[in-house]
Amino acid sequence: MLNVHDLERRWLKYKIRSYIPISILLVTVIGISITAFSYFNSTDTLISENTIQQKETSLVNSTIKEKETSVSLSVPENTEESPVAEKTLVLKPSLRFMDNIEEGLNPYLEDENTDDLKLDLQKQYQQNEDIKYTTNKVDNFPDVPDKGTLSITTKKNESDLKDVIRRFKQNKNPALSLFIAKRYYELGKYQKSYNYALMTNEIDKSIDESWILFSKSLVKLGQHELAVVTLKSYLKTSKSSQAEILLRKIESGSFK
Amino acid sequence: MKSSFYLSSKEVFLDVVDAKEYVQLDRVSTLYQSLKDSVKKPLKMILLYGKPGTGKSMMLNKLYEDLKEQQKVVMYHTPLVDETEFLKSLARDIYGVRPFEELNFTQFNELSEHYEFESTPLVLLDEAQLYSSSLMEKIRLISDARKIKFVITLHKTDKEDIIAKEHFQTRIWESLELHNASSAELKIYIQKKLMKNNCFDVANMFDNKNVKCIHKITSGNYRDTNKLLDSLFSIYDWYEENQPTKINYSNISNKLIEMAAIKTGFINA
Repeated sequence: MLNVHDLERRWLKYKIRSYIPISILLVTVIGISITAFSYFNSTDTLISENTIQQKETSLVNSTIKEKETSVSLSVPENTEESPVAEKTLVLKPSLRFMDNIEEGLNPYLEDENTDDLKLDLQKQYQQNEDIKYTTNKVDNFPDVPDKGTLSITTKKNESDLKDVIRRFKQNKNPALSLFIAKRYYELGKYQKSYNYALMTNEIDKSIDESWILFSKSLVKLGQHELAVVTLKSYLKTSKSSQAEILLRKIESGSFK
Repeated sequence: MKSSFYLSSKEVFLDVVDAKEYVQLDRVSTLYQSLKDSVKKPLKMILLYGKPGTGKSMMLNKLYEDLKEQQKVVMYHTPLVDETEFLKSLARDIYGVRPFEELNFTQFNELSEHYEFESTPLVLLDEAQLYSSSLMEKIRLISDARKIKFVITLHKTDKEDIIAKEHFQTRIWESLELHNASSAELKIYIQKKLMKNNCFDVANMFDNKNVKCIHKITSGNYRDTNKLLDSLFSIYDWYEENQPTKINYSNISNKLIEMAAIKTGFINA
């Protein structure tokens, strides 16, 4: 007996089944195409992101340097929470790009506690006319007054600075140490500012701003003569106008 | 009446071996002519082989029909497996002798010595692969004596190839192989068959796509094609009776061909 309805049903099933391999093939091809497309797309994005990051990093570096220079010149002594602090906060978002900067640096800081860094500057100056600094521990740094009363910080600033210090310890970027030095200087923590400026000089001896900050910190710590010697020594190898201006100011007593 | 229209088409493809239904195709025609020529030659045996459904029986039947008026020809469609029965059948059909007792091989040879023919009697054995080895050996000996000429058909399988090697390889002058039809041949085969039976409208409904579809299903095997088309016209007849709106009268539907293939088991669905 001919059951055409059953035959139709079986035929439909057969047709559906016959299209399955083609469908699987089609889906596989589309899937592979999409995967390949997204893969190449993501590679392009990564490349472009890296390029952008590099560009931004260089831009931010130059911006930081410029801004910090201007800030260091304009920061009044013993200021409280001031517009300067706010200005430095503006720089914060761009600092994350510095995480990507890996430079070959001297294993300068093994000790995490930067407060332990001590100086023996007088000895160094006697031994060598070149500017050399050591991080050897010296228990009694001569006549370094504690100006803790001048350190006015906010919770936010502290945490910001800690983050930058952490990152500096990771990648030893002189831009970061200079930034920290500047922040400490602004906060009135001249001892720490001095230490970070010293570290910056050790990493890169050609940063004017670092030497200026180092000298200014020395002045603030009461080491006027040492600051003058430092600047003079630096000016032998550099033609920094800012260093000259600062030297004149220190010598004339206009900078205290 | 459309209904009888499809039914008559269905009857065309009934699987029967009838020489009247023999369809001449180029390749088949050439082979058949070769077979006829071989029969005229002083050969002992002629082997016709090919896969099942390639038209061996039909060709043998056609040969029988064509030669039966010209010479002594005997055709055995069904194999005679028993040796005595086979020899008695030969004695009866060729020499007109009806032995009442057992007829052994020696007695048959003695009998054949008493008869002479203008041309050697021809015995056509279909499905020779079903004969036993010992009987095949007797057939070989009879043909060696040149008293009877045999044309045998064999299925081409590994097993039957062995039989062919053992019994016929050195004795067969001519061996002819039949093949399945190509797509073009299949179209001619279908249309010729239909037109022979006055189903011209249906014959014109087959286009190349239909034939390709049929060829894909049956691989050009004539027996399978007959079976498929028989089933196809059954389905057409049903639609004609029950849902005539679903029939396209200008073309054969590939869907219905596939349904027929499912019905006949060519497609597993």
